[in-house]
Amino acid sequence: MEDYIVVNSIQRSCFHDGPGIRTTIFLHSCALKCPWCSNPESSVNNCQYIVNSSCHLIDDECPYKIECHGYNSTTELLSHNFNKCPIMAIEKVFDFYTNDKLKKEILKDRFLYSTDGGVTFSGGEPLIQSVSLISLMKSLKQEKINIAVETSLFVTADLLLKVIDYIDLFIVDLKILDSNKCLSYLQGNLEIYLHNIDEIFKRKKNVIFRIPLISPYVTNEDNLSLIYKFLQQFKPIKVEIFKGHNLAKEKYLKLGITYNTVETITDDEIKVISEKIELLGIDTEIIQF
Amino acid sequence: MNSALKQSLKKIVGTDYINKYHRAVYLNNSSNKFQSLMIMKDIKVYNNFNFSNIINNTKEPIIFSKHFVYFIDFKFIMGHEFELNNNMTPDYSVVLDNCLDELKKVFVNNGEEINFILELENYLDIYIEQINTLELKNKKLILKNLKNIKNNKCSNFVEALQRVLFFNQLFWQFGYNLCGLGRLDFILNFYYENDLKNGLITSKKAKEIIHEFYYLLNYHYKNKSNCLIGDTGQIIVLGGLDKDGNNVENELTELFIEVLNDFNKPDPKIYLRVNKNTSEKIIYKAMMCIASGIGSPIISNDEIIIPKLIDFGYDPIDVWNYVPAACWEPSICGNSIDLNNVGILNLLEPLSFLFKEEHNLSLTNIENKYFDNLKKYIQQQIISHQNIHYDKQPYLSLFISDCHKTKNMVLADHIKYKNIGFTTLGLSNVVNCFLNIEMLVNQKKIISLKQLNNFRQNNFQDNNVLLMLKQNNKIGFGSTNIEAVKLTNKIIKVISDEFDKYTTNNGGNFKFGLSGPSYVEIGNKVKATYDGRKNFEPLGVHISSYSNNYLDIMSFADKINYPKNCINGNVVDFIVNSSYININLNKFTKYIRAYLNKNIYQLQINVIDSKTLISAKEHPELYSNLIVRVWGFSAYFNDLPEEYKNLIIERALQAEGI
Repeated sequence: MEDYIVVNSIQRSCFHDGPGIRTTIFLHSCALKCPWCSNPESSVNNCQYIVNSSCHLIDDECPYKIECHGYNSTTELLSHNFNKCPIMAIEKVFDFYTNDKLKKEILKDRFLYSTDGGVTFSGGEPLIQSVSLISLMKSLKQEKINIAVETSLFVTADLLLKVIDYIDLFIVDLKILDSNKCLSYLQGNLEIYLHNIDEIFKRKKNVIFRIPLISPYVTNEDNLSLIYKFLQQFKPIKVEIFKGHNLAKEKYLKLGITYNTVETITDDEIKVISEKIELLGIDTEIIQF
Repeated sequence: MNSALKQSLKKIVGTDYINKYHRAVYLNNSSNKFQSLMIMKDIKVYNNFNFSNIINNTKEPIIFSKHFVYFIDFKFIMGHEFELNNNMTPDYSVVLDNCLDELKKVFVNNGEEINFILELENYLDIYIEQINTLELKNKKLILKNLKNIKNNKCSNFVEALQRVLFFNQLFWQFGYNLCGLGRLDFILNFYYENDLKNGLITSKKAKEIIHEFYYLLNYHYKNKSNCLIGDTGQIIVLGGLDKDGNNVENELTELFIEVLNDFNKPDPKIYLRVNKNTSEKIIYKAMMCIASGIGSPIISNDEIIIPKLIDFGYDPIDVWNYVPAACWEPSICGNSIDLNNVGILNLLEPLSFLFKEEHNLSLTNIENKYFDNLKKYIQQQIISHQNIHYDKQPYLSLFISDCHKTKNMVLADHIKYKNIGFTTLGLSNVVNCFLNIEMLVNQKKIISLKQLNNFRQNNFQDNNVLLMLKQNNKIGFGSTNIEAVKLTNKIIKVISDEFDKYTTNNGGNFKFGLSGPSYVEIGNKVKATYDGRKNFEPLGVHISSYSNNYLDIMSFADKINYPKNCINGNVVDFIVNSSYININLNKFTKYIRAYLNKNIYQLQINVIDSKTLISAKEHPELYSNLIVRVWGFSAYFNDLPEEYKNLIIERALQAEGI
């Protein structure tokens, strides 16, 4: 039986997820519970459909006579009415792709890749679906498509090793480097992360570290010191840093998940952090989403 | 002279004023054509006026810079009996390669044209006398360059630019509108390289000189404007191919773009022709210029356009030298009297039956009826423009190679290209009307066509219906929905087939394009439509998207089939947030380049953000330099009518997903 890849969305012509122009595939599922997560839909397994912001109803009767009951709807009703809603307010949170179908979607953008672009598997945590991705990645390599993954690396090493040879670039999240805090805030086992870091550096893979500057979880002085120390040991080709935002608030509401406001830091603070990383001899970029 | 002015003049002074070409019309007490239209009673007509006397009678100053002089008196314009070739880009290389003496030889035995050239010489003499009275730093050089117009061909870069300015000022003075500047990097490079070789110029000095050139062209910005302030047609064409098919790209290509970026004014504008050999550097510089927010250059894709022009009937030996007629309409430089803008087809017009009584038609019947009406509508429009009479236009004749060959002034029968072009509006509105009916009435059966029409007649007071239509528009024209692409191509094909049936009285062919001007003014006459457009709102803008995703519009445009006569301007138009493009300029350039390798015909990009525009509308005094791209030109935001300001704000908000 063919493996399916579970996809939240496909974003074309991305300028941020690696070199060149990229097609970013947001894959479903994540092992972490980052309080600032901006893609909560990637961790929701019990509802494949949500009502998006086009629908302004809560409990009122739908003027189009579609019995989906707005935000209070059940998956079954939403699924039933997915194609019926005239304002297209019912959205699929995730969908199932065969290898061939996903490959076809990726290759549509091939003309944009030039010499440096390609596909980036993001998420969620893309490596959770490594087993399903093997044959797709293999086939993309045969087509000479550059492959990047944007990963937290909080997956078991065997999942990483299944696809590591196909991956040209790792964009790795660098968040909390204190074991206890990592476990308590993110529900992540730091040992797994560090082991995987070793594996990719041992193989001399290209790595970009991406640091979400979320206050206070990541930006507290203790954690920043750990990050600077870590970067001295594991030197990437680049570090990307960015401020937290609250753009995902509405998604949480639709999914019925409690939202924690993300505290942002100032431009001056982000500049100081950028300069400190630069002092380590690492190219640093402040990115905006 | 624009047709509105001409009609008004006819009313006031009768037809007598236009009995012969070159009769001056004096627009009293005004330095502005728009004001002039309002004070028509003050118009004086000089029946026996010699145009040389303009300089003697003028109160307008000769304007000057370090190296150049320039003069136009917009209070005097020349009347013409028949059609003038407005919206055109002359081939200035003719007057760089030839002095007036040489041109007299070209037109030997044509007394009328020779007399005209003598009159030109007379004008030049008086001009030189006037300049002699001015206190100018480089008077000697300027006078020498002007005197050479009579007896010597051009010899250096500065002289060449002065000559372009001199002949350009006369186009305006003779009543031509929307006068393009032509392929300046191509025709001036010989002089520039020669000067470099002889140590007469450096690239730094050339930049200063080009800056002066822009300054003088910009000086009469408002007077030169046609429909809206900014609509001047002052387009400099860069890049493209030479006659052997080689890419034209030189230091001047870069300098003209760089100086425009520094100049930071909406006029003149650049039209950049690109092909597969255009360097990344040039495209990057163009994108930098666009990212600065001046709305220019517009990008024109030779790889798509040239084969289409050949299919239409332009000779393969001529098409390398195409230029835009005014905003985007490709025309052959130096051998064409094509009239590219004789009319605007409002594609919603043939759909008006659907707004009346016939609500029980099936979608197939509605489509069929639309196509029947569309054909009839095109037929009416074409028939009213089939008989074209050209004025002799002795001035333009100097710039037309077939006039040189035959020694005749402009007469349609001996000019190779005399086609007629239409622009179109409302294609996106029509496509979305059909798709909305199909989706909501036929497929989802949410509403009957009759009910939908009732809502439409009430100007969509019901927000739910409006929301429904607008949401569906997002998967309509400009989206990746294959049904939208199919329907768009089907409508284009019907228009094309109908156009193909007709020729003009002079043997010219008819052409059209998917871009059109005046979408606010035409929209002002059209009631609400099934795409959720309310009463009198603007029609769709060129090939643009209804969603916030500019990626979709590029993908959509890539799938448009342009038949052989759908060549008269097909501009993809989108808005990008200024901080986004500036942060991602390198990748954005790659992205644009990748699409230019596909099926994008022409492209213009507005780099703005809604916050700035809203603030500028509230506090115009703080944003006197804010520039936006309107239909085919750049303009100061503050100069635009309120409806255009509102439209551009609305589109910027839509582009930002707000």
